[in-house]
Amino acid sequence: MLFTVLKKFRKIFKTSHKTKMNKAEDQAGNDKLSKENGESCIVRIFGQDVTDFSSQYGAESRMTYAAQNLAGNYNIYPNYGDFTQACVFRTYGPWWRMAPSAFKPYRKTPTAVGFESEDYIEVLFEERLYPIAVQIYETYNPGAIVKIMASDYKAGTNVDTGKQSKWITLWSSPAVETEQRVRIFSPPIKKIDTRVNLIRLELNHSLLGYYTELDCIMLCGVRSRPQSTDYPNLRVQASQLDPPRTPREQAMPGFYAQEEEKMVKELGSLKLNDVYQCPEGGEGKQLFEMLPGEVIVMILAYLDFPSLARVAQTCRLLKEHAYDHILYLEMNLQPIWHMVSNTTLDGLSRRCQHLQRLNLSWCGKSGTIKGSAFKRFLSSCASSLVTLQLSCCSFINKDTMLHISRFCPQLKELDLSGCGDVDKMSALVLTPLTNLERLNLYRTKIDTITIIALIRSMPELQHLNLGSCKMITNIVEVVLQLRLNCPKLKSLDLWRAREMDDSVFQEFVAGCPLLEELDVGWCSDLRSVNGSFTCIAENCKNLKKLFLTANRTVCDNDLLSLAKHSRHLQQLDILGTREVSSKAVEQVLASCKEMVFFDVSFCAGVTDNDVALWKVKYPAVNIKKSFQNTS
Amino acid sequence: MQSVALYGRLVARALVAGIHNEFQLKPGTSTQKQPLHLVTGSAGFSKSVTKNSAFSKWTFGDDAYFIARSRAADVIGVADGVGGWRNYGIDPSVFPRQLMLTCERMVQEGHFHPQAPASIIAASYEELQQHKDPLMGSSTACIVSLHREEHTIYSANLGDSGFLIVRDNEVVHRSQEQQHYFNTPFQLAVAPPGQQGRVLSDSPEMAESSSFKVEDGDVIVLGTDGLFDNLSEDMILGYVSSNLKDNREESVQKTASTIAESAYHLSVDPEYMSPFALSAIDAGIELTGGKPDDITCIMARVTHQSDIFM
Repeated sequence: MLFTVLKKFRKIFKTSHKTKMNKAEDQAGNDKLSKENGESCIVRIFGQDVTDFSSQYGAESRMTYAAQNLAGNYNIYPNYGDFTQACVFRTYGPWWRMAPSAFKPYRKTPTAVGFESEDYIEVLFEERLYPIAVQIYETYNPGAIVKIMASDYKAGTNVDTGKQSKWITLWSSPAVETEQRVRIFSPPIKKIDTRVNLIRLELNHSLLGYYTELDCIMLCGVRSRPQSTDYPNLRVQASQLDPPRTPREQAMPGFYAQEEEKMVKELGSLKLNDVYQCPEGGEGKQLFEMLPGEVIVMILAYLDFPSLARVAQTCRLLKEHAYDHILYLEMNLQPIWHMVSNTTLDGLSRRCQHLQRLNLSWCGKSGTIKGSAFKRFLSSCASSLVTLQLSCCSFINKDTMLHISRFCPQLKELDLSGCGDVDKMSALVLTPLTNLERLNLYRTKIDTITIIALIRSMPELQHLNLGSCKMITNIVEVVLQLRLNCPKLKSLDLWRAREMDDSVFQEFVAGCPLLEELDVGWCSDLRSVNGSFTCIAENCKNLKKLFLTANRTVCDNDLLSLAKHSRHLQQLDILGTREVSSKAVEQVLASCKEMVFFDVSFCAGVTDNDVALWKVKYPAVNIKKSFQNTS
Repeated sequence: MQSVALYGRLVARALVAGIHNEFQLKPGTSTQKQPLHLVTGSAGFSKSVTKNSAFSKWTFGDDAYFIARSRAADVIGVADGVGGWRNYGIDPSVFPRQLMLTCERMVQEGHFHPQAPASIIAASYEELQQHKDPLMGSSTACIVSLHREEHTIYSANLGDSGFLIVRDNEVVHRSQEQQHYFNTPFQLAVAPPGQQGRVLSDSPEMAESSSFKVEDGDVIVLGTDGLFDNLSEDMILGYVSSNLKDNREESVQKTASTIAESAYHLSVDPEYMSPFALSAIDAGIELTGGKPDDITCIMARVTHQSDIFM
C-alpha cells in the first residue's frame, strides 16, 4: 500500500515538472517570427572538433581508435567492423563493472538497465544552428547512445562571468539491444528555440557485445528560427538522405506517448489532499502525519535526489523529513550533472552532514561549480566521507585537491579519472590521504615522481588505476614502489603503460599474491619469452581478471600456465597475438571453470569455426572475436 | 611474333593494373604571395597480375602511394613493400598500403608539420603498431610535401624510392638512395615476436630529409625503385620535356602514364642495360636486362595557377 502511494507520488513530481517544461516549450515554438525564405533551407555539417570526452580506447595523442575520430567526415561508413579510424571508448558490456576494481553502485542510482550514462563525448560544430536532426554514423555495435544533448559553446565557456552553459536534452532513451549492422542513427529530437553548436552524446555500453564504434556525427539544422509548423516538413527534408529507420527509432515517440498516457491516467485517479479518517480518534489528521517519522523517511529513501527536492517543496512535514540527514548518506549526482551548480552544493551542504559516498563525476562543466563552493561543501560535509568520485570534473586542481586531503580524513576511495589538472605540481597535495584503498587516476597527467610519492604514503592501497597516464615515463619505478609499499594490492590497471621491464614486473607479481585483477593491455614491453605471463599465473592464485590486450608475444605456454594455475580466472583478454593455437585456448576454457569473458580477437590461430564450436561447448563464457570487414 | 605477344600481354596488364588518376578539388586561396600548388597524376604497374590483382585504391602490387592536401601543404608519398614476407604467409602489400593510408589521414586531418615530412613517416609507423590486428611487414617510404606559402618542398626518404625535381629540362634536386647493401634498402618493419632481431628494421629517424625552393613550372617525379631502376634520369627528362607542356591535370596524368608504361616495357626487356643492371655490375654481379618490379610513378607539377582546380 505504502509502495503504491509512494510510486504515485514519485510520478506526480516527475510529471508536474515535465508538463511545465512542455508548456514553456510550446510558447517558444509559437513565437511568431518572420521567416526569410532563403534561410529556411537545411544546413548539414560534420563535427569540427571533439572538445571533451570521458574515455577512449586509443592511446593519448594518437589517432588510432581515438575519441577525436568522431570529428570530420566519415571514413568507415558504409563498412561495418572494428576499424582503426573510429571513435572507440574504453569499456563495454558489464565486464568492467563486474571486476574487483569497480566502484560499488550507489543506492539511489536509477536502476533500469541501460539507463545510466557511462561515457560522454562532446563535438563542436562550425556554425550555430537550430537543430532539426542529429545523425550519428555507428559503424560497429550500434545502440549505445542513450542521450543527445546540445549547448551553445561560447555561452558555455564564459567562466569569468559565471554564465552557465545551458544544456538541453534533445533526445534520451534507455539502451536497447540493436541489430549488429552499420547504421546512421537519427532519433527524433526535441525542437528547441536556441541555436546550438555543441552536441554531447552520452552512452551506455551495458548491453553491447563488443566495443561500440562511431565514425562521425552530422548536425542538420537551419539558420533562422523555424516556426513550429515548419518542423514536420523540415524533419522530412533532413531525413531524406537517411537509410530506412530501424525499429528502435520508430518505437521511440510511441514509447514516450504510452508512458505519458499511463502517467496521466494514474494522476487522474489520485488525490493529493485525500483526508483519511482514522478510526481511533485520529482527529482529522492526514495520512502522512499519522505515520511515524521513521516510516516516512523510509518511504522517502526510495526517491532519488531531484525527486526529494520536489517532495520538499510540497509541505512542511515532508520538507522536514526530506531533509533528514539519513537520506543523504550516499549521493550520486552524476546522472544529473547538468543541474548541479554552486547553489546546489550550498543547498545540499546543510543536509549532508553524514555523507559517506559522493559521486560528482562530470559535474561543474564550464565553471558551473567553483572551487570555493566545493571547498565550502567539503568543509561542512566531508568529515565522514569514504568515497569521492570526481571523474572528468574541470574544477579539480591543486586547490580543490588540497581541500579534499584536508577535509576528508576518512576517505578510502577516490576517483579522479579524466581530470586534466591532476599533474605533477598538483597531485602531491593528496599525500595526507593515508587511508586510501582505491585510487583511479585514469587519463590524468600525473607523473612518475608524484605517483611514487602517493604510493609511498598510501600503504592501504588495494586498487590502483594508472591507465593511459601519459606522463608516467618510468613505470618500472612505479611498479617497484608498489611492491615495496602496497602489499594489499588487489587490482592494478596499467593500460598502455610504456617502458616496462620484465624482471621488475615479475618481482612485483611475486610480491603481490593478493592480486585479483591485472590489466597490462598494450604494454608492449612485456615479453612472453622472459616469463612474465607464466609468472603471473604461478604467483597470483586469486587472479580473476587478466588483460594482455595486444601483447604480440603471448603464446601457448602462457595459456597453458594460466589453465594450470589460475582456477578462479573470470576474464581473460589475449587480443592480437599470432602465437597462440586454438588447442591452448581450448585448454584454458576447459580448465578455468569460472570463466565468463574471453577475448580472442585478431588471434591468427583461432578461427571463426573454433569460436562457434566453443560457444556451444562452453555456453557460460562470452567469447569475443572482433573483425574488420571491407566490402 | 614474340613482340606482338608481349604487346598483347602488356595491354592486358595495363587494363588490369589500371591507371589511376586522382582528381582532387581544392578551393583556390589567392593571397598576395601567390601560394603554390601541385597538379598531380599517377600511374603504375604490378609485376604480377596473378595474386594481388584485386584492384584496390592507391596500390600497384606491393607498392602503395597517396596524394593528399591539407590547409598548408600538398603532400605526395610512395611506399614499397618488401616481398620476402610472402614466405611467412604475410601479404607484403598490406604494410605499405596501411602506412600510406595513415600518412594520408594525417595530412588531411592536419596532424603534421609541413616542414617535417619525416615526422609523418615516424608518426604513421607508430600508428601502425596501434592496430588491434597485428600488422606485420616492411616497407620503404618517401614523402614530398610542398609548403604552399613558403614555396618550398620538404622531403623525407627512407630506402630506395626517390624523387627528382625537374626545371628547364634539368634535374635540379634529387633524393639520396639509402641501402644497406646492393638491392637491400633501408626499411621500416614490424616483425613477428619470434623474428625480432633477425629482420632488417630501420628506425624512422633514419629517413634522409631535405628541402628545396621550388618555382612555378617545376616538375616533381616521385617513384619507387621499380621506376628508377629501369629508367635513367635522362630518359625521364626526355619524357617530361616532350610530354608535359602545360599545367592541365590531363597532361600531367598522361606524362605519368607514359613514363610508367615505358618503365614497364623496359623492365621486362632481357637485353636492356638498365640502371639496375649497371649498378649490379658495379657491385660485382653480372646482370643484364630490366628489373621486373612493381612500378609506381607520381608526377606533380608546381604551379601558382589556382583556377585549374575549380
